[in-house]
Amino acid sequence: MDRKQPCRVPLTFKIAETCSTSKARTGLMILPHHDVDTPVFMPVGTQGTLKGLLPQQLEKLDCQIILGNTYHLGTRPGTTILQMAGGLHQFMNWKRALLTDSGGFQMVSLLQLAHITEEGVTFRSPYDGSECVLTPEHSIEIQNTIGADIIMQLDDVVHAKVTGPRVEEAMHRTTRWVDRCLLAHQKSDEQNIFPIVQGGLDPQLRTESAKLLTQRQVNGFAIGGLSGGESKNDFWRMVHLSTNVLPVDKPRYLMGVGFAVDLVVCCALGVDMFDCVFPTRTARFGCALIRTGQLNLRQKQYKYDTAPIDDSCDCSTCKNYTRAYLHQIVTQETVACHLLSVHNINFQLRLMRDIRDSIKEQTFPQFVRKFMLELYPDGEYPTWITEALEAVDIKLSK
Amino acid sequence: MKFMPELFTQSSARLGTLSELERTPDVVLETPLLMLYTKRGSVPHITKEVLEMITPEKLLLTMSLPTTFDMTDPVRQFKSIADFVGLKEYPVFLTMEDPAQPTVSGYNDEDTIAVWTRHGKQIINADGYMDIVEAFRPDFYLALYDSDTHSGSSSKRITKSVDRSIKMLDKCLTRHKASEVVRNKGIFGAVGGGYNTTAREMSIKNLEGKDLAGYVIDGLHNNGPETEKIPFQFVEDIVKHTISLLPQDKMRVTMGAWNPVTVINLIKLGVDLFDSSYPYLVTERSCALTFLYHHSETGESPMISISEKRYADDFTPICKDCKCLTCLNHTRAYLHHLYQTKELLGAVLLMIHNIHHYLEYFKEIRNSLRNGTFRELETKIYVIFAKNDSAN
Ligand SMILES: [Zn+2]
Ligand SMILES: [Zn+2]
Repeated sequence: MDRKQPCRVPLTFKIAETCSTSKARTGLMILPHHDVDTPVFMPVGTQGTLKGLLPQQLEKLDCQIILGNTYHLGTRPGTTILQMAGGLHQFMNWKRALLTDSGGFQMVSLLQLAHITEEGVTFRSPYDGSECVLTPEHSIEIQNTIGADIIMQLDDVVHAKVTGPRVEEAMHRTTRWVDRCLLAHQKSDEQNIFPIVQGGLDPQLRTESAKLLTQRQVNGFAIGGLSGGESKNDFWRMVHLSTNVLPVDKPRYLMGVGFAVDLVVCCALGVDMFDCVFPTRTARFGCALIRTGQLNLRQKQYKYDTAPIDDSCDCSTCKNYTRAYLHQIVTQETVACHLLSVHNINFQLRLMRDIRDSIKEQTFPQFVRKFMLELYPDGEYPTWITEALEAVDIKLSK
Repeated sequence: MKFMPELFTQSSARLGTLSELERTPDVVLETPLLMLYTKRGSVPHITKEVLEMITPEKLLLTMSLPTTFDMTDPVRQFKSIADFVGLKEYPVFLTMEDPAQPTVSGYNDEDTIAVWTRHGKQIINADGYMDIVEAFRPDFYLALYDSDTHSGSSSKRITKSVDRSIKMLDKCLTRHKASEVVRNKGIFGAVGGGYNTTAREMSIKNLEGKDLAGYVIDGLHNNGPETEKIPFQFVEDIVKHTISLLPQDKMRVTMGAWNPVTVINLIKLGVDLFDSSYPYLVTERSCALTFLYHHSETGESPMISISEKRYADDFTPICKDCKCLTCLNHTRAYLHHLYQTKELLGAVLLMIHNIHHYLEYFKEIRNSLRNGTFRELETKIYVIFAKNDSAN
């Protein structure tokens, strides 16, 4: 595809292979700035940078898409600067695909006084205390300026544990807001708005939400309102139910999910895109991800450990550095944070590559069984994992 | 180890090559050389992957005792400290002090030295030090000595330091020669004596005839950012006198965050090796060096502070003529944003630029010595900094 030509459809999703057992699928999502292999994990670069890593390092890790946060970017550097720069791609010199959130969730979680009305998210400016409203239109306007390949509708966020009429109200409001977002969208040939399936943990509401959104002219869908402290038992059922209703031929993005085990289960449930701050955040505290869990390199036990973090890992950290040296510099030198970020991002991307390869080769169920047995060597799997996988015909080995 | 100085008739400045190191036989380095400053074994903010993007050259790394002392035990399992810190292709110079950090004064004793580590004060004698050297196996190292003198030290204190230092050197040399693992490494002697000519002469006399790879001209400052402020005139006489008494065929080092004007002048006097603590300290202040690509007509300063508001919408690189990774890919506006948001990438990008800039400076100095244009370069640098007192 020639990228110099403006593509009329800013997203083409081609499924290459579907798992013959589960709902897992692998494919290619063609976006204006880059092609993305799915299922994909998107590292989070909140403020137009990914935890000390150069864009060149991310490219070397074969990272195809990263996420930016609209609330943070709208505050600093602000839309004026981003406009002058020609969008976030130019500003941070990232040549591959980008996705931004709507800013609403960040506001509700970061600003104590934020509340939601039909107009939008009302909040007090953290700078001058004045009352401001982030409307669906305004969110899209900011995201149009940022210029990410995929942008999110503003949704009415309800905490995962809230029940009752508020959940229903939020679901319907989210549906009304997606129409306002689509109407306000100025760059529909360059950017894709994904609506967000809501409905809390109520199967009926979630089904209805997914059905309503499916009626809109969009190129992909997000599943929201999960990974906010609900039980795993509710979590997987809501994901399973959402992917059952959403159209097969469009990408599905499960927001805020990124623990390795969740990635594996949710790929089986038919999710194509994930994001999570965890791999880079945990790096700052000296934690390295491995298939059997994680290493806290601050611990004394690594002082004389001459092994790399993971000898099967092909990242530049594992090729050059040992646990013993990392133990000396974690939380002391920024270099340690960079080294662990490289490894942790590679860990996530490698896991997704393995998932994609296994789906392509029709060995995904075997991959899942092997992965789970490595993580739970005694075969004592958490019930939610067993049940979620059984729902898509994958039986774990004892 | 082989050091080949080519002498110059017009000034004492000289070009040379350093090669045939035991552990890294393929490395050939040209002097005057900028050694890369490290802290706890890493170039600050820069991983090996990024270091290789800054320069493919396997430059000499300086590692200081205070920032590596805690690593001694685990290093023993490795071939050398370079292997331990993940930079085994790079030669290492072990020094006693961290040039970026002011040295705490007043804790050295008759035959012991205080090393200030992250976990507080550690006291070591020559034997303890040589145990560390044998664990680290650095390609070059400085013999233990009492460096606790500066411009304000009394002559009594200075004499004492010189006396103590020779005893420590002799102990280190005895161990050095007897050691299987370090006897082929280069051991440096420290020339102390502060600003006292007699004490300097005494110190050099003590070093005469010893089997040394070179000399560290020390006792000129107490490390840390204050070193930047030392004008060349302040050190000129004592360094000149010191160098006149040193043999021509050995390397001469002055550690510390000297400013660029002082550096070029020290090179003129015949100093061969420096460390990059200066560009590191500049980075820590969120500044970017620009003096090498200075356009006098625009009246720019020799460095810019990326924290300044005026860069918020400046979509040009730090230096339009700079070929570093940062300048080729990023704007001042982006760097300003990273500063504002305290993002780690800000220091990474500034460090890439500042190291590149300083390496280019040394390259230009070597070229000017080769081409006979050293004086022009010296004048250019002098003019740039003379207009701006901030860095001088
Ligand atoms: Zn790794
Ligand atoms: Zn540059």
